[in-house]
Amino acid sequence: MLSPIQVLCSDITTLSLEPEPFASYTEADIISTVEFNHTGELLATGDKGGRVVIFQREPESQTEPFSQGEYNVYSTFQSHEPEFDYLKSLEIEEKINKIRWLPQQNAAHFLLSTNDKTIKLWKVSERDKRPEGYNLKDEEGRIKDISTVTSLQVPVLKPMDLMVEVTPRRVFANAHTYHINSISVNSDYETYMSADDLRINLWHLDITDRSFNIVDIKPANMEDLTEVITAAEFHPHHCNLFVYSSSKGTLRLCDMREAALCDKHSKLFEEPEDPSARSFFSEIISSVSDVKFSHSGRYLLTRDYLTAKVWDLNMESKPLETYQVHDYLRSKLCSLYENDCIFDKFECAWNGSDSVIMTGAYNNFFRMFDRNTKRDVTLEASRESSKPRAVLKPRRVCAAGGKRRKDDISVDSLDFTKKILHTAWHPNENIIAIAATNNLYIFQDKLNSEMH
Amino acid sequence: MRYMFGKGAKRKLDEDEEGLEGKTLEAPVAGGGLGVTPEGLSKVSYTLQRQTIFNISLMKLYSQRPLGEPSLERRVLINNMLRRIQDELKQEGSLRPLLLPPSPPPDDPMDEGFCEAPPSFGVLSAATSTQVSQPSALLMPAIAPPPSPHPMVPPNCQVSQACPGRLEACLAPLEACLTPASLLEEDGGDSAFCAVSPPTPPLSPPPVQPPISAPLSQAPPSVPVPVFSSSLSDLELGPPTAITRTAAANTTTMTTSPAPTPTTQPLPPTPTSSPRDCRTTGAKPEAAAVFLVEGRCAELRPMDTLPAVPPGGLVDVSSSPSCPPSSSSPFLSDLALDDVLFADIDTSMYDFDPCTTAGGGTASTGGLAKVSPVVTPDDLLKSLGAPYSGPAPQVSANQPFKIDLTELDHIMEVLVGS
Repeated sequence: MLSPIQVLCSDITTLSLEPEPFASYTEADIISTVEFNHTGELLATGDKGGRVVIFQREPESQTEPFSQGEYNVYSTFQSHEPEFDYLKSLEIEEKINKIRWLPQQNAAHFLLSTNDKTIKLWKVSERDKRPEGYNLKDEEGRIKDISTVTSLQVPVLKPMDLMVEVTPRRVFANAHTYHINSISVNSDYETYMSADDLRINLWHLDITDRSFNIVDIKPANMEDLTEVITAAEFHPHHCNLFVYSSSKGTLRLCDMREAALCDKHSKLFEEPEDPSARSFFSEIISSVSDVKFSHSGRYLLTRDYLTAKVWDLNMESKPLETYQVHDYLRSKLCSLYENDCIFDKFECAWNGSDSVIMTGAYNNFFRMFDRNTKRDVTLEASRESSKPRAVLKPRRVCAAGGKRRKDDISVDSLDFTKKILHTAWHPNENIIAIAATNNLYIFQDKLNSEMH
Repeated sequence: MRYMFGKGAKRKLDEDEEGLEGKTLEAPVAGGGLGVTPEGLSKVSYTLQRQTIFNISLMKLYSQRPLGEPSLERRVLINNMLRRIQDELKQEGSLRPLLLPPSPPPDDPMDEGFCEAPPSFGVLSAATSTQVSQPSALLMPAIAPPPSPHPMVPPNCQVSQACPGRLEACLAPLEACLTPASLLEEDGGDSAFCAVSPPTPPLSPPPVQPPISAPLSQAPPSVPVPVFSSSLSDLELGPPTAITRTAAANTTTMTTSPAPTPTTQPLPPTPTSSPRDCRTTGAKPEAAAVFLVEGRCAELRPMDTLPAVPPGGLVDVSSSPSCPPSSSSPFLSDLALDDVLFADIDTSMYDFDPCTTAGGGTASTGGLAKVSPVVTPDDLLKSLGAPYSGPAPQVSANQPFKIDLTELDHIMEVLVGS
């Protein structure tokens, strides 16, 4: 494992880009989630059009050292379709909110994908051989006329072009009244949970007609509603523990051994509000948009509008570390409120060793923070700056009034329509996937690729 | 713009109040006012900012896209924002910051959802206390029964948005004509209820008759009076003491209007009056108060000759059953918002946005119904608390809420149809 500093020194190269350069895109093409599988061999993206695209990392090639690490499209399929809720007269978007891979247990891969209401389990499997020479049916599978069968033969498997089959295995529907914002597979490999704005349900992967409600924060009277669930995740090792975050900036750790309904948390992580920093927008910007356990299970990483925070599971009173993602926006909150950007839900990610965290920002910028050295870097995911094999240059935003250096970009010229909400880090290598609107950028630590 | 300055000036002058605030206000306010930004906002700019944020928030809530369920998180956060500002205002005990329209929020006025928004708030405010407190604030009487502050904003800012030119045109007369209204409303929300009590004892006879002439004076002669009055009397004949605020307000509208009718000037002697009252009465002299309401209603249906009362008032009543007077929310405007926001999210989001509902005036009044009634329980409680609100037994009186809806619909039909 390379030291994260190298990552932070922007020794990051572009591995692959989406095919068409700057092709005009539609709303449906906007990437809405990115997720590596547990080995990092596969990378899945979901988009607003309900499609899932799976990328596969090319195996290492002796002749072309650079080919190692390239991710190419492996399979594409339509996971969700737009629907209409006739009871409520509302459209149910097909947008994929989250994808989670199941740990691989056989040759096939399984993933869960969800839109606002329905979770689906997909099986992704390969086929490179096909049986030939059946006695009772022909190559197309049609039953032969018995009278033509004059001799018996033994069917054989013949090699064929690799085919990736994606088949729906389970559909978990009708359990959520509100929008599903998170799904998380449990470390027992048997269950998973799905969280919407007010409730969290626990499912068995094999059972689609029943789920257990484990958290319900819906008040008896909706007028009393002041808080919603924004994200939830299982502990990576303890199958009884999970955490969920709220729009008030709190994290609740729950232990399913305590009660069937985990309305009472085991731990409440909350940072006392700084009175000097209080403003109209305090609550909104403290709303947690994403929460992730570290790989070790010891820490929690959360993202709110302006900061990323690392919490120690053993300290509830305040975060261990707080990183400013784009503090220069603090003076622009009113405008950001007005144009709704303040409600953007940025996600965050740990690197494989839990030593670096990454999260997105505006203007196609994303940020990395080294927890040990406290160094941070701003990088840009754009076609201009990231030609394949190019080394990313760190970017810098200068706050209004600050000293501006060459190549600095001023706060006022940030493009708020280009936002990086979804990022993913390879589970054990320095490879990151960045979703920038309709483009997926995959960057890799340069030295990493050269060493191989 | 000039209103902004006006506001600024006013706020500045209230030195004593500011001092008060400092003591009584919660930390958030103080922090917000003084420590929000590094630049250190002055009180004036703080209230300005608050006003702006308030307006933006309202716009956001009411300009939802028709299809697709809006994000609950977003709505909750916006609603919390509004609540927070309301709480602040409540604690300041001042409605002024909200009274004067700020410069129109930069929201796109062309936005479909937005266009529809004003009406809903128009009636909301009309149904609550716009008329009551607006004049009082403008004229600075020593009245301090602040009804919900928030409903005040929408009418102003929205009118200014919807028809800026028109607002300019009618603003002067508005102030002028509101004077009587404020006199009428001398006792603010409280008086509104005692106003009801007088008519109540005599019961139906007096009330029933006058209304006929009152609406007629404005409505085309073709109004089928009998229906109107009979249904009205039905209302009154029910459990008389049990008239709730909504019903009461409604009836007062009818009953008291005759009083002003002879005198073109509504007079203090009849301190009767719910907000609706002054609207009806005001309509005669200068029609400014009505203007406010009608300006918005006009967007719904082309300029009814009738005062906008019927839709608002009647819908009020009709929908009030759904609203338990025991609603515990401390702040009535909270209720209003909540109602729009959260009521029945599970099942009835379909009529969340007036735009999506079946078009036309009825549709939007339907939407309004959700808003206006909300005010009533709280008002009711308030009025019950009033020293001279006489009939205490009214507390338990839920019965009138059970008024036949179809009947009310019918009244509306009659009124609107004419």
